[in-house]
Amino acid sequence: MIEFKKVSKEYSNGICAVKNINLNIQKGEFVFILGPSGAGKSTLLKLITREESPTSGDLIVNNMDVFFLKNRQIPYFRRTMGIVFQDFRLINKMTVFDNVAFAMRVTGASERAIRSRVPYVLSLVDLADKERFRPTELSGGEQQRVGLARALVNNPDLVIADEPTGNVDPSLSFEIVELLSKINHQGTTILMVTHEHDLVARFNKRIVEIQEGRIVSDVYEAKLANEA
Amino acid sequence: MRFNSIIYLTREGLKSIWNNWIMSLASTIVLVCCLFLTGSVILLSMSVNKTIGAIESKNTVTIHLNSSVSSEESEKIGKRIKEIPNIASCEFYSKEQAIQKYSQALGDLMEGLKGDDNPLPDAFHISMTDLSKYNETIRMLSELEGVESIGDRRDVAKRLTEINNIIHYVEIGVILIFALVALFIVSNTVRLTMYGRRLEISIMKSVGATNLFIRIPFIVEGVTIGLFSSFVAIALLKLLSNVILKVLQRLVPFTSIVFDGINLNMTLFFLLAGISSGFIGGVISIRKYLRKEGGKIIAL
Ligand SMILES: Nc1ncnc2c1ncn2[C@@H]1O[C@H](COP(=O)(O)OP(=O)(O)OP(=O)(O)O)[C@@H](O)[C@H]1O
Ligand SMILES: [Mg+2]
Repeated sequence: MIEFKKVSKEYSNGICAVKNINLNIQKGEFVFILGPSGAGKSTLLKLITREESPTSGDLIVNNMDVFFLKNRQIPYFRRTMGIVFQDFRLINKMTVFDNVAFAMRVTGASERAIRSRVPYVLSLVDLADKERFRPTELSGGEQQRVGLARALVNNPDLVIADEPTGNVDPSLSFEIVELLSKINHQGTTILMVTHEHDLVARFNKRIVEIQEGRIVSDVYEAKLANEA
Repeated sequence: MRFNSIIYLTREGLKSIWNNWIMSLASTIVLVCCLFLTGSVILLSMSVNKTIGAIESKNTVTIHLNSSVSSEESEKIGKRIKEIPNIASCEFYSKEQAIQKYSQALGDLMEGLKGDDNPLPDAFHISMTDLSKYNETIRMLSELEGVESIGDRRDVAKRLTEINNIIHYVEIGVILIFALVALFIVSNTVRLTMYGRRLEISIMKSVGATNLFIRIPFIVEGVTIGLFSSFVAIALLKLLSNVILKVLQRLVPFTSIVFDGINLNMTLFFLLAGISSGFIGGVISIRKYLRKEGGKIIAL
């Protein structure tokens, strides 16, 4: 599903955030990307979403080499993935329903399709009763679940989450990852960035650890727990 | 682009005009001023053009006699005028007739000046057979004894043509300047809306909105403001035209100014100007946002 072949990314200011990375992620996997601040985790995700493009190497996402992606193809490319942000990125003047519906409207979906799909996705993240609320009336965990619902509403093959638990109460972080895990069980590939070792240790998932732009380990939780 | 989207996007564009009403109003006012001033200059120029044409095509010339000339002497002068070659017709126009015409237009104001107090001179209205011999004929007329002055409309036409040339430069300048001002104003209004919506734009991009989709509400906003402004400007120009036409009607005996007011072509030109300034303003202001991605849009 995602294949990095000797991918490097150097920003225009000379900082090399990703260095010669090789990484292969299969369809249906759940992968944590773990690493300290500034390690290049967000850059790695931005390469996948084509917010940034690699300076060298090949990156294949959904059977497409992102290097050959034309500007006008990018929107359609992005519709195959759902993105969850650390800062939620919800629109405060819209209701929970409209925030989620927004992602469908962008694709030209009909109001009928929106009215049937959005409540279903909101029920998946356990927010069926908060449709009419505004983001400011919700807790951080709830807001992030709205963000997750928005990422899921177009039924993506891949969900990319950049520190989705970063602005959420630690007790609620677990709940978010559980939700992602549930979605993963339905076949969606999940890529989640975090720097919380404690959190990833509670799940039995693949963990790719990055430091200074390089992959330093690529293991499963069980193994990591053994070493500790 | 699907029909659903078009309705949704149009509504979004109109909503943002409302939400941003202070800026929308301000830019409408500026646009209206731009269009109105441009229109006034165009109207003026059209009127001067037509007036020149009307004057040039007129071959009648008024010959004012010296006020000391008696009516017998005037008759003689009339005969001599008829003897000049190239004179097609020659009509006596007495000072009584002249004062009569003025008092028709101005009413009581002229009452005291009738009879012996009449300050106007007697005159002849002549017309020529061949306008190419105009200058020669005028010279012969002016050499006649008792002729005080000749109302030479060609002179007026010449001066008007000079003025008209200046007006043309002003016209071009005014249109250019106001086009720039209009674009600046509309694009800034739209840019402000965009700034307020940069979070939305960044989310739109991350969930796969096409650039066209992101653009449409802003273009709708610009075009609506432009269209509305052009309606207001057209109405104002219509009003101005009517006032000028009314004033001119009262002055008819004294002037040969031709003024048609605002016509269909001008109305269309204005609608087009309004729409295109809105459209271009909307398009140029969003480019910066479309080139960036995600967090960088929010940080703009
Ligand atoms: N747009 C950019 N332009 C230039 N340098 C950048 C840009 N984005 C990130 N960097 C640099 O690249 C390096 C990696 O940044 P990145 O955001 O990928 O780290 P991260 O692992 O996500 O960190 P954090 O956990 O703090 O989010 C950092 O040194 C950062 O300063
Ligand atoms: Mg980051």
